[in-house]
Amino acid sequence: MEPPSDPSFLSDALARLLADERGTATVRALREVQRAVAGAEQRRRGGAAGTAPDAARHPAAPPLHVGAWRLVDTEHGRGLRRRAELTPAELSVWADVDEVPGKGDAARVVLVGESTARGYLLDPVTNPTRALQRHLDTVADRRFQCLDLARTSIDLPDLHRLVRASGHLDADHLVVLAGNNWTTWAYELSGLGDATRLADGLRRDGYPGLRRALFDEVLNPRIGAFLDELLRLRDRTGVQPLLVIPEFNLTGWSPVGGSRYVDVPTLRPDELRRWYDLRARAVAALAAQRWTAVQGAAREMVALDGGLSPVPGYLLGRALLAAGDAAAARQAFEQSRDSLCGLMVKYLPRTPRMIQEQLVTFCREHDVPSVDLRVTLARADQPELPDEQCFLDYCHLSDVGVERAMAEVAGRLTGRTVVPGATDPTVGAWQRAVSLVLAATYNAFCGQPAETVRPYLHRAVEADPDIVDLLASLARLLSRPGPMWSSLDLPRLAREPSAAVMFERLGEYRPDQSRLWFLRQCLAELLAEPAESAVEVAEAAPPSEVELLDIATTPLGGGAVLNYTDPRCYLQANVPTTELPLGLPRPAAGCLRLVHRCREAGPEPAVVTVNGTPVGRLVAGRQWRTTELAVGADVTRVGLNTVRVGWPVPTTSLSDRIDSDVAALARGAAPYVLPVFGELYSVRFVPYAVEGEA
Amino acid sequence: MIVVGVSAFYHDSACAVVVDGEVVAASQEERYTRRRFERGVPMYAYRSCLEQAGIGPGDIDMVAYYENPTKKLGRQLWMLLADGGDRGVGELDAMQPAREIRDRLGYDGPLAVVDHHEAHAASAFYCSGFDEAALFTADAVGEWTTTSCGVGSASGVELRQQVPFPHSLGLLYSTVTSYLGFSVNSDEYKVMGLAAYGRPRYLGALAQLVLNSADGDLRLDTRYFRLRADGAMYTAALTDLLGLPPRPVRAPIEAVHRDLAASVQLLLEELLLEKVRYLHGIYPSDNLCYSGGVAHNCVANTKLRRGGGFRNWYVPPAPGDAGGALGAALLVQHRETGARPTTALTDARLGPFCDGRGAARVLHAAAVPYEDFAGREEALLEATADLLAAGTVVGWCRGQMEFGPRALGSRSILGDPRDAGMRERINRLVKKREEFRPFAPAVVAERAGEFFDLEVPSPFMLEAVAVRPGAGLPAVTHVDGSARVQTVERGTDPRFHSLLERFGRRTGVPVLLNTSFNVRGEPIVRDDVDALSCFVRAGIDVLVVGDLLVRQEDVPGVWREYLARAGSYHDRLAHNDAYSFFV
Repeated sequence: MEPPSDPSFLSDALARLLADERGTATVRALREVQRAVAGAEQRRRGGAAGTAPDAARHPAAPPLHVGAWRLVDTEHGRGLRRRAELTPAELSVWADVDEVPGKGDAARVVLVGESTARGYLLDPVTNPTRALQRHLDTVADRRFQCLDLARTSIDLPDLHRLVRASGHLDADHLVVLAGNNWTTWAYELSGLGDATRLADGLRRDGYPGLRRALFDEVLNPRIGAFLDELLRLRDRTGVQPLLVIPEFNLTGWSPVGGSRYVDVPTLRPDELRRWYDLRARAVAALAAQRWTAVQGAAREMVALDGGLSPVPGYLLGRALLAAGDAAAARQAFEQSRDSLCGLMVKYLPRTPRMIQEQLVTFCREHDVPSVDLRVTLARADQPELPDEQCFLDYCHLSDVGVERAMAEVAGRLTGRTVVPGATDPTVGAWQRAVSLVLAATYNAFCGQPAETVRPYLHRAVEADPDIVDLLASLARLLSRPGPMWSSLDLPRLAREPSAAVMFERLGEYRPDQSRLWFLRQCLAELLAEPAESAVEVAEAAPPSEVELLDIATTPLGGGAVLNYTDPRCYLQANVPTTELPLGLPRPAAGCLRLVHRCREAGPEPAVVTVNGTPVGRLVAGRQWRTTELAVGADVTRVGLNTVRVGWPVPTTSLSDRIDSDVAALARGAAPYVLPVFGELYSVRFVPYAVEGEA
Repeated sequence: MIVVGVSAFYHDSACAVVVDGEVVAASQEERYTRRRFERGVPMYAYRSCLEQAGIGPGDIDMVAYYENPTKKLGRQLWMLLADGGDRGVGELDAMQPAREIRDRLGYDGPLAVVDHHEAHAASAFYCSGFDEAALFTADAVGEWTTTSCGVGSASGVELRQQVPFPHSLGLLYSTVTSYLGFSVNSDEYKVMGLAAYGRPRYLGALAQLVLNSADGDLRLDTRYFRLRADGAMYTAALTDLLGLPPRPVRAPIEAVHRDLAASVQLLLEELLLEKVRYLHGIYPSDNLCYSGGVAHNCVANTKLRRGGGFRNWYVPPAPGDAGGALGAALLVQHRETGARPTTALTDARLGPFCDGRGAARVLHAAAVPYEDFAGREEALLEATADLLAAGTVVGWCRGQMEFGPRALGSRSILGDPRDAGMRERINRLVKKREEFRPFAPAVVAERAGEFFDLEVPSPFMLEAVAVRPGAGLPAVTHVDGSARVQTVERGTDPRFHSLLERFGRRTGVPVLLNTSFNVRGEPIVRDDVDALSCFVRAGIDVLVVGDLLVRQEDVPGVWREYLARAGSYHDRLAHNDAYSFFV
């Protein structure tokens, strides 16, 4: 046999030069350049797909399909028919509409947007398009036909494409209710150019620089291009755009508490320690209603974190609200809401002020009508703040919110005053109650504390007392072993039209993996059931051994990662307290066996508590160690127990973290951003055998 | 010393644990993520293997990775530069394995890198129980190598000759797989099954793809191959040569397609035989250890074993890339400490244990009737044998999961091989696969010779031999009269052996149809809840999970309805007609 030919030896030599982080980045850069050159060459030859301006000069042939539908010509004009080839998963994010007839003599209104526009947690009972149609039917002196092209989770590029395609729909008005998903979309670095801009910003100005670069250099131009598309569409087809500026449930959403939300990005160790001292002080002051002290601590926190934490703004907002300064409270809550946007860490969709203002400015400068939900959904008593009754979570609207928002849109489209009802008249008491149960479930799934979840359940019971039967089904679903699909209560829950999507998706979870412990707890309280009902019904005795980290048993555990790096087979604590639920059918003595590591900790140990009682300490160290801690039966209880690991503040070097994040961006990966307080590979509770038990 | 082997970032990622020279655990990541051929770092398999080994991450002395990333990068760069283009090329990142093993597995200790074909060879040699052996590996490509040969001895594994990329038996076979409209890197076994229906009338044409195969070498005529990650693997020149258009995906299979499959299968067999005979000539050992993805081809395997010149031979249970994790761990263990397994690995059950307790809790909570045979093993086996003899299809999930692509009696669907309709029934209910694909038999080892023309044990279902005339096994007999046999030793798997025996007592045939416990497009089930779900969705008659026996008629209809709907969210299978060795 011959040895490999010469070219291979050369490429091997090249590989040796490139087989490190810098080499990986180099190869990536070379390939990007190669692609860019090839693209430019292709455009020079006129072979590329038309850019948006080209497309404006040379309108393309109608697309075969728009969203989940294909275009069809009918005797009354262009209509839509649902595409048969799509899977149920693909169809489930669009409106459940088979056919749309031609508009005839009606004015056609197309509504596009994200899950808020889709009517998440309400659809198909109602949704914004239906509400808009109803209002228009009531007040207009001509016929309107509303088309629902909203798609759950649509991102900015797909929205851009959809809007472009909607130019072939003979639309008269295009209502855009979107913006919540735009920032997170920008995290999917589409090319080296974006990554380089972010890396440059990060290298230059730290995490504030990363955030600024993402907004100014990545996101803003894309939003501008999207908005330009609306103008081109107006110029070319006459369709009138109307922008709905999204609002966030500023006072009804808590970014504080639990271990599922980001507190603050990596700071210098002394600053991080000080930041957490201040946080403790602010939380204590808030509980003691010492509003001035809260404000002082929160402002000092912001000075340390550069406005990149949702915590101080939220605490400050609560203090200012309690002190009666709603305008200042709004500012603080907005700062909290916006703080993580652009930082490439996980949070739930939202439209930051920068985007809201960009939309408002665009409308003003180009004479595009708009409906600003910050005004439409404001509280009557404190108009600076949004009305919590209009929301089902952080951004999705209740039927009250939909009613108010779409009345305003109808008014803007018709030039008439449309008075919204107190609620959507097509939504009955039972359906409203169902939507509130779904809201409780979704808020719990998102990691909201019991204080946020509980009111939705109470409102559901107030809306329709008969809902307790459904709540009992939900409680049984959550307290059974095995995957949820095996519960006979699942069909009962999924039978509700608006609930089907949520429960079908939850079906593959196992209750202990479903993040719904708080919901179980709240349901048990509400239904006045004994605490042990929140524990697996089949367990007469504590299991011989139970792993508390769901990362150990299912890929779903990968959700523990609070940034966009790939999941790990162990948990990295990005906040100082790791909380783990332990369900017990009765108090039990046992051993907590933890496999842990603190690579960036100082000499202080981590402290482990069960239901608030200290049970031991974890010695800091760079290597994985196993620590066994005895737990007395007297510190455990029936039902939900909480094991907490309180980590010392880490000594992470900010400059090292930034360097490694710059390197990650250079290879097209997500930056880490966050501090690591400690790491857990396994946390097991091993009950001691009780005499008389097997 | 504890060594953990890892294979990842191509396909079939896996993890294995070797402690003081003994294989303690091994499993494939796809069984946990439920994505076939999972390529990501095996974080769930890693956790599972450590759990089985009774160790924590701090106990590991060394991690062994199954491929040299720098050498692989060299080949990727060569392809990239030679190709002059960039379409479909994945990330070129030689740091990825080390970075992800450290970051995503949380491992901080020493990391050893083993060449890809060394890992293949080691997985065969160290598990063979041979003191010395000739070594032969063949796959698509690993780093630069596509085929290698060498020797294994007390001093370790030494590969002395290799065929460089792109001259590859695996790529040759995959190219025709692609031409026949099947998915590359997964559907090669379909081509093997289809081959039995055809006549090798394209052999002469296909032989022109091979320029030289003398003395263990191989040179392909690259004009016919398009070895890029995007698009088909063949060029128009191949169409011209064959005078036959490529078969579109999911188009009807016609005689010409069967003939082309027969031709490429025969060509592969001839080329392999040539290589192995050459190897025997230069390393005239009694023993041959054979591994690599091509060793999945059981039809060729039997011909090699019989015609290659070696007296004894060993193919490991996972000859493909998953097995590379095991080979890398064994090789590093031997290099570091001199420790190695002292006996042959004849039991592929190296994965996590299923005892049925999870299923019991689910069934109990839903008030679904089931029989619990805990402590009554004999009764369970008797009841199952009765059901099988009565024509019942049984899902069988007990004990430790097998390592490798085959279900060998721990995660299996079982049926009566005497029933001519059984193949069609299981295909319709469970597998929903092409009708030309045969099902395999499991047989008690001591009576294998009565039913099959098989003179050696075949514990990993890696041999295809003739079914004896009059054996009466239509459900497991392929159109050419062959069967892909698994022999079951009493000492290796007494439970499964006993089931076969009891079935034999009732029917005179200690043979069962044994196919993997999964539905089309999904990996084999791992735990009891996977098994329960698959049982319900597929409509299998009876499930034996751990010590429990559940009947389909007792399952609530709402389970079936829900799982049917949920399944529709996952039923879109990605078709892969391009070779993905770049990524």
